[in-house]
Amino acid sequence: MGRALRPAGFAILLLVALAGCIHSDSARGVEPRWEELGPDAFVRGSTTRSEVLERLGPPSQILSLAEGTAFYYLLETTRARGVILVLYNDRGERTRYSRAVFFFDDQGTLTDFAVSRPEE
Amino acid sequence: MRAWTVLLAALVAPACSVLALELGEDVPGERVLSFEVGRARRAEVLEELGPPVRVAAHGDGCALLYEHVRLDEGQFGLSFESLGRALGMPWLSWIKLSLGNSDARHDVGLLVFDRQGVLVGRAVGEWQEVFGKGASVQVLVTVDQVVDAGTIREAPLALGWGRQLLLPLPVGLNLAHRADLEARGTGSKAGQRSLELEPGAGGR
Repeated sequence: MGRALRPAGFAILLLVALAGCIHSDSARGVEPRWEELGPDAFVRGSTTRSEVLERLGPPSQILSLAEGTAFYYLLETTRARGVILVLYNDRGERTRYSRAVFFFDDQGTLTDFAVSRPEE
Repeated sequence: MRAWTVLLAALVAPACSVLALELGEDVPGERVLSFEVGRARRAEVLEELGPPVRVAAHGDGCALLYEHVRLDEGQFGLSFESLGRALGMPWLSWIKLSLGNSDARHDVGLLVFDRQGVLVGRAVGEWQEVFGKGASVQVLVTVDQVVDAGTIREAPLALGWGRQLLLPLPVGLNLAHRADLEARGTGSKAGQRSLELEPGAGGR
Protein backbone atom coordinates (compact mmCIF):
# COMPACT_ATOMS: atom_id res chain seq x y z
CA MET A 1 0.00 0.00 0.00
CA GLY A 2 2.80 2.31 0.98
CA ARG A 3 4.70 1.45 -2.16
CA ALA A 4 1.65 2.06 -4.35
CA LEU A 5 1.21 5.52 -2.91
CA ARG A 6 4.83 6.47 -3.32
CA PRO A 7 4.77 7.44 -7.04
CA ALA A 8 1.46 9.25 -6.67
CA GLY A 9 2.65 11.10 -3.60
CA PHE A 10 5.86 12.04 -5.35
CA ALA A 11 3.92 13.31 -8.37
CA ILE A 12 1.68 15.47 -6.19
CA LEU A 13 4.69 16.80 -4.29
CA LEU A 14 6.38 17.64 -7.59
CA LEU A 15 3.32 19.48 -8.87
CA VAL A 16 3.08 21.52 -5.66
CA ALA A 17 6.80 22.30 -5.72
CA LEU A 18 6.66 23.52 -9.31
CA ALA A 19 3.56 25.67 -8.85
CA GLY A 20 4.04 29.40 -9.04
CA CYS A 21 2.36 32.68 -9.68
CA ILE A 22 2.78 35.76 -11.85
CA HIS A 23 2.30 39.26 -10.53
CA SER A 24 3.58 42.32 -12.33
CA ASP A 25 2.65 45.97 -12.74
CA SER A 26 4.27 48.40 -15.11
CA ALA A 27 3.64 51.93 -16.33
CA ARG A 28 5.04 54.14 -19.04
CA GLY A 29 4.16 57.67 -19.98
CA VAL A 30 3.72 60.92 -18.08
CA GLU A 31 2.48 61.50 -14.55
CA PRO A 32 -1.34 61.69 -14.69
CA ARG A 33 -1.77 65.02 -12.88
CA TRP A 34 -5.06 65.54 -14.74
CA GLU A 35 -6.61 62.81 -12.59
CA GLU A 36 -6.02 64.85 -9.43
CA LEU A 37 -6.97 68.19 -10.99
CA GLY A 38 -10.11 66.93 -12.74
CA PRO A 39 -11.96 68.62 -15.62
CA ASP A 40 -12.95 71.63 -13.50
CA ALA A 41 -9.34 72.86 -13.54
CA PHE A 42 -9.66 73.76 -17.23
CA VAL A 43 -12.09 76.20 -18.87
CA ARG A 44 -12.82 76.44 -22.58
CA GLY A 45 -12.16 79.91 -23.99
CA SER A 46 -10.20 80.96 -20.93
CA THR A 47 -7.41 78.53 -19.99
CA THR A 48 -4.25 79.12 -22.00
CA ARG A 49 -1.67 76.77 -23.47
CA SER A 50 0.98 77.95 -20.99
CA GLU A 51 -1.37 77.30 -18.05
CA VAL A 52 -1.92 73.72 -19.21
CA LEU A 53 1.83 73.24 -19.56
CA GLU A 54 2.38 74.67 -16.11
CA ARG A 55 -0.19 72.37 -14.50
CA LEU A 56 0.51 69.15 -16.37
CA GLY A 57 4.10 69.45 -17.57
CA PRO A 58 5.40 68.45 -21.01
CA PRO A 59 2.87 66.45 -23.06
CA SER A 60 3.46 63.03 -24.57
CA GLN A 61 2.69 64.39 -28.01
CA ILE A 62 2.18 67.79 -29.63
CA LEU A 63 0.06 67.97 -32.74
CA SER A 64 0.22 70.79 -35.22
CA LEU A 65 -3.27 71.43 -36.59
CA ALA A 66 -4.58 73.94 -39.13
CA GLU A 67 -6.65 75.59 -36.36
CA GLY A 68 -3.80 75.67 -33.80
CA THR A 69 -2.18 72.99 -31.69
CA ALA A 70 -3.17 70.03 -29.55
CA PHE A 71 -1.46 68.52 -26.50
CA TYR A 72 -1.92 64.82 -25.83
CA TYR A 73 -0.96 63.31 -22.47
CA LEU A 74 -0.79 59.55 -21.99
CA LEU A 75 0.02 57.10 -19.20
CA GLU A 76 -0.09 53.42 -20.07
CA THR A 77 -0.41 51.00 -17.14
CA THR A 78 -0.22 47.24 -17.48
CA ARG A 79 -1.19 44.72 -14.83
CA ALA A 80 -0.45 41.01 -15.25
CA ARG A 81 -1.65 38.24 -12.97
CA GLY A 82 -1.41 34.51 -13.34
CA VAL A 83 -0.95 31.09 -11.82
CA ILE A 84 1.35 28.29 -12.87
CA LEU A 85 0.02 24.91 -11.79
CA VAL A 86 2.12 22.94 -14.29
CA LEU A 87 -0.81 21.04 -15.76
CA TYR A 88 -2.88 24.20 -16.06
CA ASN A 89 -1.50 27.71 -16.35
CA ASP A 90 -3.43 30.94 -16.59
CA ARG A 91 -2.08 34.42 -17.29
CA GLY A 92 -4.08 37.59 -17.80
CA GLU A 93 -2.73 40.97 -18.78
CA ARG A 94 -4.71 44.18 -18.84
CA THR A 95 -3.51 47.50 -20.20
CA ARG A 96 -5.31 50.75 -19.48
CA TYR A 97 -4.68 54.22 -20.82
CA SER A 98 -5.14 57.30 -18.68
CA ARG A 99 -5.09 60.25 -21.04
CA ALA A 100 -5.89 63.90 -21.58
CA VAL A 101 -6.21 65.90 -24.76
CA PHE A 102 -6.31 69.70 -25.15
CA PHE A 103 -7.02 71.67 -28.33
CA PHE A 104 -5.89 75.30 -28.63
CA ASP A 105 -6.64 77.95 -31.25
CA ASP A 106 -3.88 79.95 -32.94
CA GLN A 107 -3.97 82.41 -30.00
CA GLY A 108 -3.15 79.60 -27.57
CA THR A 109 -6.59 79.58 -25.92
CA LEU A 110 -8.22 76.29 -24.98
CA THR A 111 -11.06 75.38 -27.35
CA ASP A 112 -11.83 71.72 -26.52
CA PHE A 113 -10.48 69.21 -24.03
CA ALA A 114 -11.12 65.91 -22.27
CA VAL A 115 -9.42 64.14 -19.37
CA SER A 116 -9.67 60.56 -18.14
CA ARG A 117 -11.13 59.99 -14.73
CA PRO A 118 -9.18 57.85 -12.24
CA GLU A 119 -10.01 54.16 -12.58
CA GLU A 120 -12.13 52.87 -9.71
CA MET B 1 3.33 -3.70 -18.06
CA ARG B 2 2.75 -1.25 -15.24
CA ALA B 3 5.95 0.60 -16.07
CA TRP B 4 4.86 0.99 -19.68
CA THR B 5 1.45 2.26 -18.57
CA VAL B 6 3.05 4.85 -16.34
CA LEU B 7 5.44 5.83 -19.13
CA LEU B 8 2.64 6.17 -21.66
CA ALA B 9 0.55 8.23 -19.25
CA ALA B 10 3.46 10.54 -18.60
CA LEU B 11 4.11 10.91 -22.31
CA VAL B 12 0.58 11.88 -23.15
CA ALA B 13 -0.15 13.84 -19.96
CA PRO B 14 -0.98 17.21 -21.43
CA ALA B 15 -0.73 20.60 -19.86
CA CYS B 16 -2.49 23.70 -21.05
CA SER B 17 -2.08 27.43 -20.64
CA VAL B 18 -4.55 30.22 -21.20
CA LEU B 19 -3.15 33.68 -21.90
CA ALA B 20 -5.30 36.77 -22.21
CA LEU B 21 -4.32 40.29 -23.17
CA GLU B 22 -6.65 43.26 -23.07
CA LEU B 23 -5.83 46.78 -24.28
CA GLY B 24 -8.01 49.80 -23.65
CA GLU B 25 -11.66 50.07 -22.69
CA ASP B 26 -14.82 49.09 -24.53
CA VAL B 27 -15.70 51.28 -27.49
CA PRO B 28 -19.35 52.36 -27.30
CA GLY B 29 -20.15 51.80 -30.97
CA GLU B 30 -23.78 52.87 -30.76
CA ARG B 31 -22.83 56.15 -29.12
CA VAL B 32 -20.18 56.82 -31.77
CA LEU B 33 -22.77 56.31 -34.51
CA SER B 34 -25.32 58.45 -32.67
CA PHE B 35 -23.34 61.62 -33.40
CA GLU B 36 -24.84 63.37 -36.41
CA VAL B 37 -22.45 64.19 -39.24
CA GLY B 38 -22.45 67.92 -40.05
CA ARG B 39 -23.96 68.85 -36.68
CA ALA B 40 -22.08 67.21 -33.79
CA ARG B 41 -19.11 69.16 -32.48
CA ARG B 42 -15.79 67.91 -31.16
CA ALA B 43 -16.46 69.32 -27.68
CA GLU B 44 -19.69 67.32 -27.47
CA VAL B 45 -17.94 64.11 -28.56
CA LEU B 46 -15.07 64.58 -26.09
CA GLU B 47 -17.54 65.32 -23.33
CA GLU B 48 -19.40 62.08 -23.93
CA LEU B 49 -16.66 59.65 -24.98
CA GLY B 50 -13.69 61.12 -23.09
CA PRO B 51 -10.18 61.41 -24.51
CA PRO B 52 -9.42 59.17 -27.50
CA VAL B 53 -6.72 56.51 -27.52
CA ARG B 54 -5.14 58.23 -30.51
CA VAL B 55 -5.47 61.67 -32.07
CA ALA B 56 -4.00 62.93 -35.33
CA ALA B 57 -4.14 65.87 -37.71
CA HIS B 58 -6.29 65.02 -40.70
CA GLY B 59 -6.53 67.46 -43.58
CA ASP B 60 -7.60 70.83 -42.15
CA GLY B 61 -9.05 69.18 -39.08
CA CYS B 62 -8.31 66.21 -36.91
CA ALA B 63 -9.37 62.63 -36.25
CA LEU B 64 -9.98 60.79 -32.99
CA LEU B 65 -9.61 57.03 -32.62
CA TYR B 66 -11.12 54.90 -29.85
CA GLU B 67 -9.89 51.31 -29.70
CA HIS B 68 -10.27 48.16 -27.64
CA VAL B 69 -8.39 44.93 -28.35
CA ARG B 70 -8.70 41.57 -26.64
CA LEU B 71 -6.31 38.76 -27.46
CA ASP B 72 -6.90 35.21 -26.21
CA GLU B 73 -4.28 32.54 -26.67
CA GLY B 74 -4.64 28.90 -25.77
CA GLN B 75 -1.62 26.65 -25.48
CA PHE B 76 -1.35 22.91 -25.33
CA GLY B 77 1.88 21.45 -24.01
CA LEU B 78 3.62 18.12 -23.77
CA SER B 79 6.40 17.19 -21.36
CA PHE B 80 9.14 14.69 -22.21
CA GLU B 81 10.30 14.03 -18.66
CA SER B 82 9.35 10.36 -18.47
CA LEU B 83 10.56 9.70 -21.98
CA GLY B 84 13.93 11.20 -21.10
CA ARG B 85 14.21 8.99 -18.02
CA ALA B 86 13.22 5.89 -19.94
CA LEU B 87 15.71 6.55 -22.71
CA GLY B 88 18.50 7.61 -20.37
CA MET B 89 18.45 11.15 -21.70
CA PRO B 90 17.65 13.30 -18.63
CA TRP B 91 18.01 16.55 -20.55
CA LEU B 92 14.74 15.73 -22.30
CA SER B 93 12.93 16.42 -19.01
CA TRP B 94 13.65 20.12 -19.36
CA ILE B 95 11.90 20.43 -22.68
CA LYS B 96 8.27 21.37 -23.14
CA LEU B 97 6.54 21.43 -26.50
CA SER B 98 3.84 24.08 -26.88
CA LEU B 99 1.21 24.54 -29.55
CA GLY B 100 -0.63 27.85 -29.54
CA ASN B 101 -3.68 29.35 -31.17
CA SER B 102 -4.61 33.01 -30.78
CA ASP B 103 -7.83 34.92 -31.44
CA ALA B 104 -8.09 38.70 -31.45
CA ARG B 105 -11.17 40.84 -31.11
CA HIS B 106 -11.00 44.47 -32.24
CA ASP B 107 -13.47 47.27 -31.49
CA VAL B 108 -12.64 50.55 -33.18
CA GLY B 109 -14.44 53.89 -33.40
CA LEU B 110 -13.16 56.70 -35.60
CA LEU B 111 -14.45 60.29 -35.76
CA VAL B 112 -13.18 62.93 -38.18
CA PHE B 113 -13.66 66.69 -37.68
CA ASP B 114 -13.12 69.71 -39.91
CA ARG B 115 -11.20 72.86 -38.99
CA GLN B 116 -14.22 74.29 -37.16
CA GLY B 117 -14.50 71.16 -35.02
CA VAL B 118 -17.64 69.90 -36.76
CA LEU B 119 -18.02 66.15 -37.31
CA VAL B 120 -17.55 65.26 -40.99
CA GLY B 121 -17.40 61.49 -40.68
CA ARG B 122 -17.55 58.60 -38.23
CA ALA B 123 -17.24 54.85 -38.43
CA VAL B 124 -17.30 51.85 -36.15
CA GLY B 125 -15.61 48.52 -36.71
CA GLU B 126 -15.96 45.28 -34.77
CA TRP B 127 -14.25 42.15 -35.96
CA GLN B 128 -12.76 38.94 -34.69
CA GLU B 129 -9.90 37.14 -36.35
CA VAL B 130 -7.60 34.20 -35.91
CA PHE B 131 -4.54 36.22 -35.01
CA GLY B 132 -2.10 33.40 -35.41
CA LYS B 133 -1.03 29.86 -34.72
CA GLY B 134 2.37 28.70 -33.60
CA ALA B 135 4.50 26.11 -31.91
CA SER B 136 7.48 26.36 -29.60
CA VAL B 137 9.83 24.28 -27.54
CA GLN B 138 10.34 25.83 -24.10
CA VAL B 139 12.43 24.87 -21.12
CA LEU B 140 10.78 23.44 -17.98
CA VAL B 141 7.67 25.56 -17.40
CA THR B 142 7.63 28.76 -19.38
CA VAL B 143 4.39 30.63 -19.76
CA ASP B 144 4.84 32.92 -22.69
CA GLN B 145 3.05 33.63 -25.93
CA VAL B 146 3.70 31.24 -28.78
CA VAL B 147 1.99 33.50 -31.30
CA ASP B 148 3.82 36.76 -32.09
CA ALA B 149 1.61 39.56 -30.80
CA GLY B 150 4.21 42.28 -31.29
CA THR B 151 2.03 44.40 -33.55
CA ILE B 152 -0.76 44.35 -30.96
CA ARG B 153 1.54 45.05 -28.02
CA GLU B 154 3.56 47.87 -29.59
CA ALA B 155 3.69 51.07 -27.56
CA PRO B 156 1.23 53.85 -28.39
CA LEU B 157 2.65 56.30 -30.92
CA ALA B 158 2.31 59.15 -28.44
CA LEU B 159 4.92 57.54 -26.17
CA GLY B 160 7.49 57.42 -28.95
CA TRP B 161 6.75 60.80 -30.45
CA GLY B 162 10.13 62.46 -29.67
CA ARG B 163 12.00 59.28 -30.51
CA GLN B 164 10.52 59.34 -34.02
CA LEU B 165 13.08 61.99 -34.94
CA LEU B 166 15.80 59.37 -34.52
CA LEU B 167 14.20 56.68 -36.68
CA PRO B 168 16.11 55.33 -39.71
CA LEU B 169 15.74 57.34 -42.89
CA PRO B 170 13.13 55.25 -44.77
CA VAL B 171 10.84 55.52 -41.75
CA GLY B 172 11.78 59.08 -40.80
CA LEU B 173 11.16 60.42 -44.30
CA ASN B 174 7.77 58.78 -44.32
CA LEU B 175 6.63 60.26 -41.00
CA ALA B 176 4.86 63.21 -42.57
CA HIS B 177 2.64 60.81 -44.50
CA ARG B 178 2.30 58.16 -41.83
CA ALA B 179 -1.19 57.27 -40.73
CA ASP B 180 -0.95 57.92 -36.99
CA LEU B 181 -4.41 56.53 -36.54
CA GLU B 182 -3.85 53.04 -37.82
CA ALA B 183 -5.45 50.35 -35.69
CA ARG B 184 -3.25 47.95 -33.73
CA GLY B 185 -2.12 44.98 -35.75
CA THR B 186 -1.94 46.86 -39.05
CA GLY B 187 0.96 45.49 -41.06
CA SER B 188 3.50 47.37 -43.15
CA LYS B 189 3.59 45.00 -46.11
CA ALA B 190 1.02 47.01 -48.07
CA GLY B 191 -0.26 50.56 -48.08
CA GLN B 192 1.53 53.78 -47.20
CA ARG B 193 3.98 52.23 -44.76
CA SER B 194 5.25 49.75 -47.34
CA LEU B 195 7.65 52.59 -48.26
CA GLU B 196 9.45 51.72 -45.02
CA LEU B 197 10.31 48.20 -46.14
CA GLU B 198 14.00 47.52 -46.33
CA PRO B 199 15.50 44.72 -48.42
CA GLY B 200 15.93 41.67 -46.23
CA ALA B 201 14.50 43.38 -43.15
CA GLY B 202 10.93 42.34 -43.71
CA GLY B 203 9.57 45.77 -42.79
CA ARG B 204 8.74 47.19 -39.40
